[in-house]
Amino acid sequence: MTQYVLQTKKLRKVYGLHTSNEFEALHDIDFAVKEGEFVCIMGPSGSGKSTFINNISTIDMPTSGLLYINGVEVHTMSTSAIGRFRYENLGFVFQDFNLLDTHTLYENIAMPLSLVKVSSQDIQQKVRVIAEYFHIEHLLTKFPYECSGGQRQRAAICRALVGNPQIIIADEPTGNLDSANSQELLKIFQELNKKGVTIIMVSHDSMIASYSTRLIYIKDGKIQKTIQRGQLSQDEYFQRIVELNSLESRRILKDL
Amino acid sequence: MIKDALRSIKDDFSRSLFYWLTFVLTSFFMFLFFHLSYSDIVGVTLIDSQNTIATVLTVFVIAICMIVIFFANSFYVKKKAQSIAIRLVCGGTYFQIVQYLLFQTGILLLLAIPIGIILACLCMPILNLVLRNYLYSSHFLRIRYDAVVSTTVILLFEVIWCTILNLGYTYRHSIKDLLDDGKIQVKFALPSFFQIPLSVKKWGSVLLFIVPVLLFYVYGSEPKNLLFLSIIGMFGLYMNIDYFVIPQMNIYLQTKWIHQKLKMIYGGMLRSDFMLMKKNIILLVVSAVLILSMLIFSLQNPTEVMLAMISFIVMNVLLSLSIMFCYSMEIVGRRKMMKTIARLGYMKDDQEKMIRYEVIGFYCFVMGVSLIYILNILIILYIHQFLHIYFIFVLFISFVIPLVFSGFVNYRYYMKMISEC
Repeated sequence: MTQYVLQTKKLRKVYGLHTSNEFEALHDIDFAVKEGEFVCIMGPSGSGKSTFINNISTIDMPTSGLLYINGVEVHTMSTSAIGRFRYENLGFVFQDFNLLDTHTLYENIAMPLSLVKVSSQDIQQKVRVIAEYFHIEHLLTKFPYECSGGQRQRAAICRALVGNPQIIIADEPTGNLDSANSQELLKIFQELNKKGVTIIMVSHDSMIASYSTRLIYIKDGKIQKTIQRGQLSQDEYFQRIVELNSLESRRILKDL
Repeated sequence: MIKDALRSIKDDFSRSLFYWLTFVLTSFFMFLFFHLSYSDIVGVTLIDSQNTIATVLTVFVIAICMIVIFFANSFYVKKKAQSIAIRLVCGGTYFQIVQYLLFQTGILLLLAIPIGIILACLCMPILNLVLRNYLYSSHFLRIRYDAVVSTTVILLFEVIWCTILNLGYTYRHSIKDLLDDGKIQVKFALPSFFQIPLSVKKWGSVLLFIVPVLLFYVYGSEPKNLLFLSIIGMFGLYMNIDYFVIPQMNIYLQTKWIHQKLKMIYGGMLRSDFMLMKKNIILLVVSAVLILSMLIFSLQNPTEVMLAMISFIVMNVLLSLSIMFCYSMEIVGRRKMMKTIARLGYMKDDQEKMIRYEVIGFYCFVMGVSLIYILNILIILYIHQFLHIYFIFVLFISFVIPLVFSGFVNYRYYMKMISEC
């Protein structure tokens, strides 16, 4: 039997349950991620991409359905076990970086390590190594608001990777970056993926999605289509993604 | 517009309540203060005032009231940044925005001023009782025309001041800034002509802060010495935060606290609090210490003693409130930060602990550095029998209680924000 790192069965998310504003954002989603996959989640605005990623990464809790993390169902885990899972296994990269303005880059990067009780000497060493790798070692004493967008995103990636997470969750990670920084980030993701790190990324950009190994297209809270890259070249894979997107756009135009 | 302003007050009731409370307190203090300073025995007059100490105190208290209103207003308006931005996006003019804010401020002021004045009138017999029974004065306070005029002028000035502040706020921020809800600004240091080594600044500032306290016991019998030593000490405190407290916290954060999940977060937040509220802390400590030193000069006149004591209480209450408002503004901006912390794997109870330690740490620091001076001045006053033990106790309590209250309000506000995250 295949061991999935993440698996959902009939996952549902309803906002404003039992109120007049009840809204079902995710409808019975079945989804699974194997170790070492690079999954991209695409879809139009309001399709439920971010809700989905928040639910599978335990930031939000599903209304019903099952969510397995390393074979363990989340509802059977205590809140502290979920928290522990989060800091031991997940690394988050967000569009707006989400660095703490009250802490220097050094302290921001060290945060996941302090959660797993690494000694201060080890923290110092690990932070220096990763900061050098991302060329921000000279910025470690600066505060996020003193750095550029690219530098902040690098620091956010350092924070996501410093604990060697099993899975990286990235919600529009290139949204605030220029094209050069975006390409660099995606190459880093590819390298990490080759080393066995599982990546789940939300993006609305076909070019960025073409770096993944599997594409999930979500629409109206349901998985509409899945494209496996398989043996396709990046260019062929990119073409398939563009076709899927334009097909969806044409369908909307027809409906109009 | 009036309907809009009323709805906005209702929607943001707790914030409006604190804003209103600031107006009540300033009206209350102003009214009492002017009655004391204009009384025949103190002798402050609108023109050509002869009593220097009382005049200095009066100007000082008015300035502090304005500063507190500035903080309260910023706190009140900042939360409205988004609604202001939406009004501007929809084609609202700056004049309309000012009108909208003026209506809100006006309504709150109209509700606050009469209550403040009524409370002050009710307090007058108590002050007369204290003057007669504890300060052995034959002078009695009564409602005075010039004091009422001065209070009215200052309160009207408050309204104009708030309008100017609001106009400035909307005018100097772009719509995008207002929507973003403001960020910490990068500060640029001016070039220094003399390069003093950091270690000299660090230990020099510690000495400047500590040595004057020790000298109180040598030269404290002369009131002017106490004032002079306090001024040196306050200068030391100002340098201390920049050259000792913040660098020391940096060292601790990067070495001793970095592997402790709670200390590393609340330590960073605490450092940020000190950086942001340095001016408020200094203002509180400086005002308290200087008024206390000035009080010694007024010991010959019971009404002047009462005036200095009221000034001390007014300062502490208002400046504690300004710290509370400033802290609350910072808390508003930390909502997103708390979400990030939760995403990293910090549990709710971890966050609650962080907040508790941060708020307690902050207020203990403020109280600690202030009390190093205040307690020693009070001890000197007691040793040289300048002031009765009851008054020493009242002065001590009047310093501690407003800060404890502010800490409690900030803590509750922080917790409420966490529960909403």
